Amino acid sequence: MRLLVVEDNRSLAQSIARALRAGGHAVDCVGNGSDALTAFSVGTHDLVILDLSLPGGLDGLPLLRTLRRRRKDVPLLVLTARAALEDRVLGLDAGGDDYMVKPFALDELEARVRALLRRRGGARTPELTAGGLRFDTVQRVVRADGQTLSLTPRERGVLEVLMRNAGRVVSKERIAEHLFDFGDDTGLSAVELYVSRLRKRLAGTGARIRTLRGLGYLLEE
Amino acid sequence: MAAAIPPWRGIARRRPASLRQRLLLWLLVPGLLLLFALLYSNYLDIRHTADRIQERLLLAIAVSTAEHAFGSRGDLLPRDVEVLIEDFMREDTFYHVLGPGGAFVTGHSDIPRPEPAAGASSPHFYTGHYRGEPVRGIRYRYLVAGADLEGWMTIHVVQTRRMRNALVRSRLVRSATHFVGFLLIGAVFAWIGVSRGLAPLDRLRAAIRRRSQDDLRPVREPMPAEVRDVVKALNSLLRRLQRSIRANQRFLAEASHRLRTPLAALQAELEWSVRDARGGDERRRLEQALCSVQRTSRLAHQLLNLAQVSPEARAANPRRQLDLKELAAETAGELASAALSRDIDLSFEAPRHPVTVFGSAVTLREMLVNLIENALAHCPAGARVTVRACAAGGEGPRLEVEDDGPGIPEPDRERVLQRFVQLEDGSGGGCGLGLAIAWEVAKAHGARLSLHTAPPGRGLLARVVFPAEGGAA
Repeated sequence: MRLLVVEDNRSLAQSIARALRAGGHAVDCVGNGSDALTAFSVGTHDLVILDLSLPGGLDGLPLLRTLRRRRKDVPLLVLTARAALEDRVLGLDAGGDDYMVKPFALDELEARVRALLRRRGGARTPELTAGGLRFDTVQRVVRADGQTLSLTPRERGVLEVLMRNAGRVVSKERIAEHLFDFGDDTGLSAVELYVSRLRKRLAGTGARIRTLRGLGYLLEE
Repeated sequence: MAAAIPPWRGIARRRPASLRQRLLLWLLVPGLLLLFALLYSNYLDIRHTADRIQERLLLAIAVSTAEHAFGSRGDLLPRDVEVLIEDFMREDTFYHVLGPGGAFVTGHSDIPRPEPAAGASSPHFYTGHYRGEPVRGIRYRYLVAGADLEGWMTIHVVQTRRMRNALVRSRLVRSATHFVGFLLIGAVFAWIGVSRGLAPLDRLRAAIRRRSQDDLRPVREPMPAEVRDVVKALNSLLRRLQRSIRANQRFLAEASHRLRTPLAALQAELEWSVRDARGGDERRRLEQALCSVQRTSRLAHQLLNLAQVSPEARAANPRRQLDLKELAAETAGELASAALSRDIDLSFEAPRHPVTVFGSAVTLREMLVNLIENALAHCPAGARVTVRACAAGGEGPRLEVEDDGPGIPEPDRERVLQRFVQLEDGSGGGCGLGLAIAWEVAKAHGARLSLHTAPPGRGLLARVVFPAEGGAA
């Protein structure tokens, strides 16, 4: 994957780039808004990491909007030093896909990048990976350690939602929305049933689905 | 040694009297004084009139007596004069007649006479005392030229003043009653007038009270000239305050950025150093350095949070109707993986219906994050942390974070809500601001944060109770 890092602090940019390269990606670093636009239009990047608090008086938000307008499908991970959570809302509304507050742990950054690349796989990589599992969303086949798992369509549906949101809580309601049509009123207890069956199927694969009462389910990465 | 403050200075330092009181005082006290002055002048008038009446009467009696006394040469007053006196006057009347040279002719010889200094004018009125009572008298002189007598005759008639005094008294009482009546009516009108006059101030007060606490817009009520300047000054103050708040927010954002980016770079560098470290010792040292940087970052984060939720920052965090249930579920969800990585069982409880409060989503989220992170930081692996939103019947809506960890001992529960207070030796990685931030946010929303023992008997229950609809917590 080719990634673009837009960050004016050189030391931080280099540390981020090094982490991403260690993950097997190619990384371009730029230090200001105009270089970012240039690089963005020339290269075909798979993900952009953008620091909102750039120098030169150009607030990162207009830049973010411009990038989003140019290419609608590229994941944008926003970095900011701003503490206010309303900035998070602004950042996400302007087109960001995820938001991290500086300072952060590099591990966390790496995980978020992986999650974003997974989510926006699109045409390039129809394969989801999480928790040691590989899900081919086109063929609808799930593999663990090379072995194919036999799952019902509903179980696959549940697993797909959980894998797309690996490392994050997914509420029962959301899983239900994904699985059932409007007319289908089977509801939340059905979700519980499918999750418990799925757990059984996943036993021995090393993938773990955690339950958080009142909140939902989470697939560990 | 300092001089003692005179008592009147103390009075001056007390709170100034209300405008209404001052106005009424300045209207009614001079009014009262004027009234007394009027009453007194009225009294003088009445007395003067009564005196003139009595004098006319005395003159009539004197003239009548003069015409007849000579004829009768006796002590008897003419019949019509007696009738006049008895029926109409009810005063005791005494007289005597003196001949030329002051020779006594008839009557009571001992009635008082005018002072010699009064001269010889006629008629002449004077006052004196007779038989223990004050009397008013007249001296009347007339010339006779007749067979027995020739020369100046002098008649002195004196009369008690009882009726005259009674007349004066009754007139006075009547006047006073009227005046008091007018005073009371005047007072009522003064009160109405003053109230009406001060009505614009009441309107101003009501207009300001109607605003929400975050509303710093200028006051636009139309005001009379005297108050307009005050309102102008107030509006100018509000504008300055708004500017100051905005400047503060800008500074905060700027400071935030300038602090965090270098810290982020430092932290990332150290993380790489740890990864690259060759020996166990080197790695350990670098990990400690990394730990310190992380704590510094956390402190910076919390300090800036604290500034953001302070009352001064209020205008920057707008408020609206929120569903606490949604907010709490979202926030808990965000901290789910942090909980799992510590092997803590995080769960959420809420009723089916929404739990609404009026508040700022940004700061309430921050409050909840701090409460949950506090629980996560202090509970051992395997513990349970429950986040709850509920709307209990009597009280207002509530947020709770309950855990079954070590809890906080009762004597420390007040202290721990203060800034920079930590119970352990600080090796836990926190900076002592989390609960203080939560407390500030609660207070800013009119809510109360309190710490209790969790119901099963061990662990901590952190509870935030919001005001019930239209009330205070």
